[in-house]
Amino acid sequence: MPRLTSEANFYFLISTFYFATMCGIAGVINSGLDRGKLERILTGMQHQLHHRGPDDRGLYLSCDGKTGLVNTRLAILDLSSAGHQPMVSADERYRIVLNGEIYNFQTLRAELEGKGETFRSHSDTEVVLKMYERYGPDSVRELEGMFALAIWDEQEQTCFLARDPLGIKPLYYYETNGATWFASELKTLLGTSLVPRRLSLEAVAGYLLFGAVSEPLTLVENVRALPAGHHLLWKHGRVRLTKYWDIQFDDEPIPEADAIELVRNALQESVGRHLVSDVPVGIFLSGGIDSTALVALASLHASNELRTFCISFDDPKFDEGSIAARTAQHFGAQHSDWRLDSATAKKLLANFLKCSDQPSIDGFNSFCISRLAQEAGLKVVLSGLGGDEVFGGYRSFRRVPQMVHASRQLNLLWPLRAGVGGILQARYSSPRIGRLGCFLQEAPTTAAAYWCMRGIFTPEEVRLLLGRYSNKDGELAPKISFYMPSQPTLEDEVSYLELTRYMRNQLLRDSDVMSMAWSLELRVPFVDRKFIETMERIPAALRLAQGKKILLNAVPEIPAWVQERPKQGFTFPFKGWVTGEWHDVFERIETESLFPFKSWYRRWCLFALDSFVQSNRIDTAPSAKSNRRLVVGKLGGSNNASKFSARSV
Amino acid sequence: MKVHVWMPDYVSAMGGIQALSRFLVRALRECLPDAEIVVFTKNDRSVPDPEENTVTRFSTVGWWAPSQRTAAFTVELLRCAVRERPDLIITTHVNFTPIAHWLKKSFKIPFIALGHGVEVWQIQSIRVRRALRSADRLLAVSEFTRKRMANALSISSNAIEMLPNTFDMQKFELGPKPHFLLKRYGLRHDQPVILTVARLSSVEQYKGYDQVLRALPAVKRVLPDVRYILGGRGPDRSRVLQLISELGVTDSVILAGYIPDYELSSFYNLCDVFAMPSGGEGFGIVFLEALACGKPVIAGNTDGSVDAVLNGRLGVLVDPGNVDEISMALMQVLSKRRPLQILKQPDALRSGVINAYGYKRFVERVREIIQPFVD
Repeated sequence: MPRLTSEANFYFLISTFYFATMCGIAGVINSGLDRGKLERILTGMQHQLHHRGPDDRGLYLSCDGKTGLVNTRLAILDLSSAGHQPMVSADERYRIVLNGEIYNFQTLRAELEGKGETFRSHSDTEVVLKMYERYGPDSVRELEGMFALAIWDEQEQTCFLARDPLGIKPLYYYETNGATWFASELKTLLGTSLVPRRLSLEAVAGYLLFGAVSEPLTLVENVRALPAGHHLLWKHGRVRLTKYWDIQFDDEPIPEADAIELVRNALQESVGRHLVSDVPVGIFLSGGIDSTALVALASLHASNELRTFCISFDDPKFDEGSIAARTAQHFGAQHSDWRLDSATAKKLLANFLKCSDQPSIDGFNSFCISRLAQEAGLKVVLSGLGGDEVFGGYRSFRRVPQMVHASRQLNLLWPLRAGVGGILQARYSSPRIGRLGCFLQEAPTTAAAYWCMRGIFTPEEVRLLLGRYSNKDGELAPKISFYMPSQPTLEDEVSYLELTRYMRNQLLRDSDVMSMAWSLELRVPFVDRKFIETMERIPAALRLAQGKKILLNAVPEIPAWVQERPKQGFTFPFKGWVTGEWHDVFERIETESLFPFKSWYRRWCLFALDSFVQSNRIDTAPSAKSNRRLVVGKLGGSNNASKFSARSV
Repeated sequence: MKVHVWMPDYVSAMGGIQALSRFLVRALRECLPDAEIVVFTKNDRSVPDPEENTVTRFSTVGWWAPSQRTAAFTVELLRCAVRERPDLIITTHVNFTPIAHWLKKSFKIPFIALGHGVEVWQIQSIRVRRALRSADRLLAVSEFTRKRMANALSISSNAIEMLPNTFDMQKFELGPKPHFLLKRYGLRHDQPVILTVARLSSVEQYKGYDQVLRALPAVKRVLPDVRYILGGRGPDRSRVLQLISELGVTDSVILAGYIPDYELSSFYNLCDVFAMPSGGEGFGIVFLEALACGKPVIAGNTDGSVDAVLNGRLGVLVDPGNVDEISMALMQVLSKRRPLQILKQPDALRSGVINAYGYKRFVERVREIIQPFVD
């Protein structure tokens, strides 16, 4: 099972220097509330976002008192008032709040200065604002980095919201009565008490199928995520959502040597960009290829001493600590290791749930490693997240095409295929075989095969589980197939899905929330628009060659012990924990179930959802049947969560 | 009312037939808000979730091997039509008409067939010809296609109604040359830019990009810093590269590769003239999009493009075989010396194309066409 795989979720560090705009943003456009009340609500939103930026805060209210922007800022060295947000343009027409990091802001600034613009601060925010003043919404196409931003135009009475191309930084919005509320976290919107706390059944179904909520949906009805690579323009009460970027792989053949050179140069440039900073930067290092490649390339760039961090376990099956330590030593990095055991991890669980925004079957490892980095005094870290998605590091890259081909072969015998699928689903209680049975009964699309590899519950199980939350569960038919733009090969399609589903909805979302919970900025050199645009030009046969061959060739500095190590996804030993020491926490979830859960990740999935529902006081109306059979008190799993919290906070 | 719409693809390819098919479905929903509209597509491997209030259901067989797909599609069309008995079938590709013809004979289900381009200029199959003659309504996207289709079927062109292509006027708007594209290609703001967007494939050489390349040396002599942006990708690329180097215009040509949908309007806004002197266009939706962005267009005078530029009232028509004529037209348009005044008036080009081919007109036409079939 490739969940929690790979070093994408794993971590260790280097150090150099940086300058940050990390923060939380929120605001409202065209609220109908009176000024005093609006100000109170905005201040409340600011408070909710405090952990994302504890060093500075700002609030702006428009002349008519209907539109407001707030920001909380994590400043590292420069806490001058020049970098304060919301930032205003020289003519006071525009106001901006920005969460994120624009890596090419100095180049853009020099270009603008060449055109006669003058600057009052050294921040990237001012550059973004000037770009917007000059080039309008198209200006986001020139920004390199991770960002979510809002710009209010007082003169035209328009508001512009945008999110980075790959969805590293989050932004959620809610429209009601001509007003639009937005914030970096879903919890912040819920905290306003203006958003009805109703569960979106469609989102819950997607969550139970895939283990993460697929954007643009959120678990709260009518609250949407601004999709990655999109911007939104609010004008006279209407919003216009525009896509400005997407992934499209190419299939034009190129010589292997050229492809290797492309990877080398693009990754080296990306790492260089991501190291630009005024405070020390670390690297999360596992025993895998991706993070080792980052350390290798960072050691060429870093002017200061490298610092790497890792979490290791007693269970040798999961332990990568010794390999990481050896790698760190090889590159002369100062290495820190946290040996995490089940009991310590259990103590962290309650705090983890408190910090979560939307649940997923992941995130705990990001939470732990971020804590380690923060305690080591670091505010910025690089992670190898994205390497598996770009270079085909998951089993899905082999299995999904095989499954699609095999199932297509059986198209002519589809009644037989579907019959076998039905038997597999009914007779075998293994979740994996159940999903395979389900796949055989469907049209053999890439999306369905992808679900078979990555999925959690089958549509039938989801229908049963939905009854825990709603008596309208019968109105929804969960589907495992979904639309995706076609790509040159099936392998490219898997890469597209990994980048736009698993990575976007799960890895990046958890990484943002969990790193910000520890006031830590996480940077992801593999998830960079320029880097991915270059990788798109390399055909699948080379880019996705087994064993990340192209990356190994492009970064020959990767030591032999990492190169020769059999592929092993980095993961925490959850299975042992959930069925062992953590058993009391998850027990109830299992005993109340109408069907056996079998796997730890299915228990975790439901546990995290119940915890979200409980801690955010989301309204549920369980169906009568489920009420009797599943829900004890209010919500089984959530009660567990709260008991657990009370014990261990 | 139940309507089945049959089409080659809905999302997986973006040609004229696909664009028209999507607008047609949208318009049908506007005309028939309560109808059950089921879309059958042959080549899509995945389809969008039925958009709210637009499509009731999608059905696709794109995940069958290409060799089995036609049979699978036939079975699917027949199975659903026999079971659901739609009140009307609309097919946007004539190759599906024999199935519709059989359904009409057997179950009295009326059908409408649409001819787009080259597929109806010559119809080899007797079955398709026979089926088309039995259609309740025949539609053509351009006057040129209508005549060729009538000819191929040996019927009067009056028997074929017109349903020209349309475009999204919100997506294609007037705008300055986008800074991010000027930067991407290292262009100056005042540098003259010629644009063609077409798939680079040997079967689509009729699009005329070869001819524009051949016309380029002459244009360069007058306007030395002219740039020709050729957008699109395909197997013809290496031949195109060779032609570019033979003509000695390497420095003046930018092969932009695949232009994603979300950047298309920016490319139109980047250019000073959109040139596609095509010899085999059914209609040419790209002309409408470029005109909606207020850009002058140069089109071929021997195919459906003639309709797109209103017989020369909205754009320049040239003989696609005549390189001198093409280079002359390019030079005149770029230096604003072409006598046609409207070429210098972006607003007039936009309003002209909206009046003739705007989506509102399209919906009105669709309404008239389906009126007799509505209860």
